[in-house]
Amino acid sequence: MTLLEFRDVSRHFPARRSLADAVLRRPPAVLRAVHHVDLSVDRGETLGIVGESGCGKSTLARLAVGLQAADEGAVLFDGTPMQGPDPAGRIQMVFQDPYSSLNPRMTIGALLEEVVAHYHRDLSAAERRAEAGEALRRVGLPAETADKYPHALSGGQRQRVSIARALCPRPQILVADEPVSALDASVQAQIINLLQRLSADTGITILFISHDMQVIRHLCDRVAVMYLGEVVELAPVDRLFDQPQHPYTAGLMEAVPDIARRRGEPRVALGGEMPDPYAVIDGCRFASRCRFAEPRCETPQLLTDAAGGGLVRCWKAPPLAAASIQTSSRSDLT
Amino acid sequence: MKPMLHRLLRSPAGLGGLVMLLALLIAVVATPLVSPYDPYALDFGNALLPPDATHWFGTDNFGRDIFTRVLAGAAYDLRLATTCVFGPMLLGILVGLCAGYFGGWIDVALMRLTDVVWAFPFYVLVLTIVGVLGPGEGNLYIAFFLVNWIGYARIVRGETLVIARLEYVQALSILRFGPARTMLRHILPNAVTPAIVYSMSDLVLTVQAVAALSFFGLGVQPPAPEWGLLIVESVDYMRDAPWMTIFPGLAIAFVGVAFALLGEGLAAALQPRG
Repeated sequence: MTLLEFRDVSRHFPARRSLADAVLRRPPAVLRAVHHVDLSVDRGETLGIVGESGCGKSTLARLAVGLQAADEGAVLFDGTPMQGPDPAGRIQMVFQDPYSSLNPRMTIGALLEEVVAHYHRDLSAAERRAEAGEALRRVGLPAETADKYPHALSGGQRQRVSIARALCPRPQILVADEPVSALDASVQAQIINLLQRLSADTGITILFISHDMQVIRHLCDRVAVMYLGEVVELAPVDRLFDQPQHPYTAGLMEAVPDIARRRGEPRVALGGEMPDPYAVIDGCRFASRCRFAEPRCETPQLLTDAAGGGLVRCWKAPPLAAASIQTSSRSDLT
Repeated sequence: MKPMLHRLLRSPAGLGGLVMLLALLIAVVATPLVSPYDPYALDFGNALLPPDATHWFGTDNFGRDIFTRVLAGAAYDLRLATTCVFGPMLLGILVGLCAGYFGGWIDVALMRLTDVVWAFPFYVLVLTIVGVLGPGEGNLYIAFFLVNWIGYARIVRGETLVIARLEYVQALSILRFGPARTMLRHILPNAVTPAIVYSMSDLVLTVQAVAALSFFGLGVQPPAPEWGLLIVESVDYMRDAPWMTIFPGLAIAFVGVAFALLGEGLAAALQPRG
């Protein structure tokens, strides 16, 4: 059942125009950070969004929580379009940088109690404290943490506090924007396990954004691969990793360092850089870097049903059925 | 709060500045109780006496005890300086917070306003105000309140711009905290430190400006024992009775050093991590 839906969502950022541009009436260059994205997140699932820096995945996260408004399309929560952050706090977010995501002048307890008080005004001070302590317990921090200031905590502990704060309003969706990218590998695993346990225990829906394929594979039920503001492939995690169908997805897999791989064994890395995001073409946006590019790739590509499940935006992907390349119908993914 | 005071007292500069100011305040409060001299009473028989055991700083051309007058003057200068710094500081902090937090046209309007005020040299502005309203302590307040908030507005705006982009402030907006609470409780405590440190050097400058304006006859009027006035009254006697000039001058320097040291101590003590 769909809980959060991006319906044809776009978010464009106009570049600053110079005086000369204004005089010559040149239209402003537009960065299409998120471009006509259709995506639905089911209740209870963990949906991963993966892609290189600048592919629009963070913008998508900010659209999901209402920090930014969509220029086109709508974000629907439980079928209702959202206007800004949810008043009931049903969607919360965990940020990337554990060092700037907590107010350095407030103790952890004060910080959590304030959030609790904001959503549950009728609670007494003792009840608020208990609730904040419960939030700490849920993320695996000792009760004494409440008396500490953020600078006394490690990056992993801070990230746990961030998660605790996000859980205080009892949200239904947790949006995690690269929550482990700034952490050591061992601490990363702890935070990933914590998210996994939260998902299993409380059934909370998680929108997990990362550029790390390994982490995504470990945590997510389904994965959306983004490239230059578009979803290029969307599939259940096993299908995506076993048989990636978009050349970009395959390239990302190749780029993952693999301990099991023998030294000297060839690997086909993604070449080149992302093209200028201000000057994208109508056709396949990945064509300039794609090994298999052909003239036909310059025509617009649609997300179509992929063999083995999911959707893929590439006409060369193995067809589900002979005729399905031409249709743009999207099946329900469950 | 407690660790902050603790850190302030542990830094030599902060401790020194605090001790100097406390000593001055105690002297200002205690002197009228124990001193046999009245800062205003004339005594021509004892005019222009050099410093000795009975008149520690000597006497002026009217025979008034300079030690008593300097300490009485401290009350004037500290009152003027603190009012003219902390009043505009509150205004400036509020303006800076709003400009930095709301951005857009509010920011543009407020910052253009500061540019306009900034464009007038301070003394020209004061001369104009005093020229229109006449000299006196009250008009001095008006002049300082018009000008002194600008530095704070700019400092706090800059800090707010940076802090408002931090992830913890974004988290607050996802949590739907209102702008007043976000600004006053979550941004202000982290944005205000440089403004507090700046206010200490501003106090030094304001003490000097108050004295300078009185020296030019634009501020406090005689026979008040304000330090700038003490100096201007001493000018004719500087050659024969230099103590009339030196001690008020030293008092200004003393307060200046005290605030500067306190500012340095505060700069270290107000950092969030120890």
